[in-house]
Amino acid sequence: MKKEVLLKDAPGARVLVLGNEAIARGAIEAGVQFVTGYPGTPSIEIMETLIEAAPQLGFIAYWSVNEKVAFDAVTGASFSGVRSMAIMKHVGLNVAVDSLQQLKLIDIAGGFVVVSVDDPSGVSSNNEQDNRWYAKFAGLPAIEPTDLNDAREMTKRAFEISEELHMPVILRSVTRLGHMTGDLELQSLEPRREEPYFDSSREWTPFPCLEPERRLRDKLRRAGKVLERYQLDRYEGTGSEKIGVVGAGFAFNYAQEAVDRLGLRGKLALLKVSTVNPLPSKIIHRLLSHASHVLVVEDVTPFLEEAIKAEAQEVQRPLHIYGRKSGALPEVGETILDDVVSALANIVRRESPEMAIPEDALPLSERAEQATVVKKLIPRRQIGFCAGCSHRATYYALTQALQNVGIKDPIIVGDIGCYALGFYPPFSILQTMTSMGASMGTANALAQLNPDRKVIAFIGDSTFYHAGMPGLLQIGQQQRPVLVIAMDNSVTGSTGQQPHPGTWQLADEQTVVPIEDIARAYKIPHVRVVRSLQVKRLINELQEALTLDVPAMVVSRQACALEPGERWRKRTIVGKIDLAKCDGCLVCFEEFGCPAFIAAEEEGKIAIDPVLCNGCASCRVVCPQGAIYFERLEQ
Amino acid sequence: MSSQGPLNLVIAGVGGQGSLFASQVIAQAAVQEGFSVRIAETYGVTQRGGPVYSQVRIGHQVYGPLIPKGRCDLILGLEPIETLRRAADYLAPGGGVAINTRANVPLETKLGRQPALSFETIREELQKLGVGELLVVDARTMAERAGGAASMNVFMIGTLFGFDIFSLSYDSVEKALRIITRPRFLEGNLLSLAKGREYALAAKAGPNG
Repeated sequence: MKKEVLLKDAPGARVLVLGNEAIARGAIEAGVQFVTGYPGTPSIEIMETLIEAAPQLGFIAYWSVNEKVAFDAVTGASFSGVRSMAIMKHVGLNVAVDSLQQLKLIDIAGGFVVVSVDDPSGVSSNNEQDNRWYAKFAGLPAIEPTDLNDAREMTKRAFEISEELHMPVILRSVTRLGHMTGDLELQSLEPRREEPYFDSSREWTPFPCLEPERRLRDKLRRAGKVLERYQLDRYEGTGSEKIGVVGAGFAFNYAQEAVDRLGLRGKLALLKVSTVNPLPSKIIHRLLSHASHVLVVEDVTPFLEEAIKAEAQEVQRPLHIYGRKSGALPEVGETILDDVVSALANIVRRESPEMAIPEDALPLSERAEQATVVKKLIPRRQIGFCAGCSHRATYYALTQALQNVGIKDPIIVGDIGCYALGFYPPFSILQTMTSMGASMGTANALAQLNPDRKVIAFIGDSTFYHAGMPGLLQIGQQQRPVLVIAMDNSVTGSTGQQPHPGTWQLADEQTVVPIEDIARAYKIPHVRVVRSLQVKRLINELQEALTLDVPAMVVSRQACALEPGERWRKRTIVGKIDLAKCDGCLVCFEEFGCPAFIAAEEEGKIAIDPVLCNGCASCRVVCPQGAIYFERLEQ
Repeated sequence: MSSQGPLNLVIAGVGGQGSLFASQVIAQAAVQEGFSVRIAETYGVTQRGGPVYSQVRIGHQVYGPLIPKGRCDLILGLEPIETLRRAADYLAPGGGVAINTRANVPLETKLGRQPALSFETIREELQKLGVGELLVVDARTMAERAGGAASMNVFMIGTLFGFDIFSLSYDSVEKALRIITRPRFLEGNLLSLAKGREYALAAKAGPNG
């Protein structure tokens, strides 16, 4: 265990942890008994900590096939009366919402917490998405922490609130909190452990409609009072300030820091809002009773700004609410402190010019221009596939196969995972990418509507199990001549090598369900499995599959180079370049682009870094001069 | 760490140089001294040779982990090109920089596909950005002579003791190192930390200091 102390009953200990680990600690302190989720950055470390802790503390924790399956499993756990938690990234919750929309209507038993880690600015995602709307949409209580201690504490409170109201509670976090390291104070572990028991004497269903809908409205009204009692929100003011600053969840940090930097602490009212739903009207009205100008600081969308604006209707005097919607703060992107400082300074100068604002506290505007000039001098560093990655070999093989067969205008569909780097050089081969598993359905329709063109769909193994299977079933059922290339590296690679149903390395512990078995069951007539690093064979198999007029799947299989078993594998060979043969054509660099390629001492030629080379040998076929060779390493 | 607000420190380098480790050592030392710490790291597609940086904030009261643009008091530069990249955004006028001269030059630059960036240009640009104290060191060579090439990051941590604004004690950094380092690297790391400090203090006392 990386941080053994997270498992200890060590109240008062101060430890350095990630925000995600603080949430995990909160769950441990709450006596969680059942946890599952699907790996999605930035939420990973919550599950990883709990999976490590589970055997020692005696609870259940495992990775699920997708977020809906995880959510449904947690439903079963809650129905069995134990505290349970489902963990996912913002877009993961989209997958589980169908279940969420039903479960909200049922009186649950064990505390049920849904952790949603949103990703402002899409640091590790394709979109920004504000999952606070899901709380409002579904009508579920939701809370969002500001800091590490808050994260631990609110995770515990979320279980209590869930049990008091008999409904799931959403804990909303953001990337910046989840991936922030800081000091956390531990509290004692809850000794409670319920014996799981499923009560068959009652019906666990929202059916028939309307009665449960009415009950939900009643619960929500009660939720307002329950949440108020937990005092998650905080008002700082005297009741006479003209200007107020509100911060939602993590964004409250920016609100506080901006106020401090401008030297306005004590001169403005400050409001920390951690209750997402139902809106904490009482404390908001306390602010609106005296403040006429209110700046709302929040990540992603003007969720709170709009809500406060609506509340302001009830106040009988002119009120000005500023935020992402009003244009005071940028509409998109993670909150940036300097933006908050500028927005607040503008309001103060206009409305309370008597408050002096120190000039040196304002953002250094000329610095931004200077930075742009300097950055033009700084060389880019291309990101690409790791040394030894099978995806590079597979994309290279397809490029060659298409050339050899003479297909000039293929439609190439991508999906979510490391292989999305296929959008970038050197391959720049992918043409579409939307959501998890979407390649299957998209390719199916593209093939139907573009019958003269070859449609090729790339899908990773974890993505295939997650949401690709139904789409492949449709291709099989309709016998559309799509070529599916399954990029099978045996783990969920891009999020840190988590296991899934195809992880053969765990064959002792689980039944492995290979992709090819599923494809055959789904009536894909042509299914081949090739080792990715056997590039010549892979090219041949792809050429054959490209000429078929039936659905085809080629599984390109090779364990992720970062998968622990692979990473610690002893290399037996290492790449060399015969400089006598190398004519400096740079085809290896331009068409293959392994990070182990470095500049040779002889100008214009390539060498292979003996430390970075993984010994996968897939580059051997790339050199037109045959200058790449592999040497046995002395063991 | 002053009454004005937290100490803002950026650690700049490329994947594999141990910038994450360096931020953990400094944070651990700060927690031992009773400070609050917040670190923001680059996560996601960070790999060997890719640009990485950490933002570390230490103080009695620290809110978020993000350092505002142009407000970084001190940059620990494990790689010179990356040091300039982060200095461009974060370095405060008058802020200090400890910079390793040993560059990790991107292949595209080596192949002449994009212009090269000499160390002298980096130094000039840092000057234009208003760098205060600047400590220049071939840390790779120095680390090789001390605790080994892999302890370059720790040697660089040692050089922070040459900056007045860095007020953590040597004892607490050493103690943090003992907590975080895997046993077989400990001896080398302790040696490089000592040598790093020695180097910085000598440079400060020297004619060009």
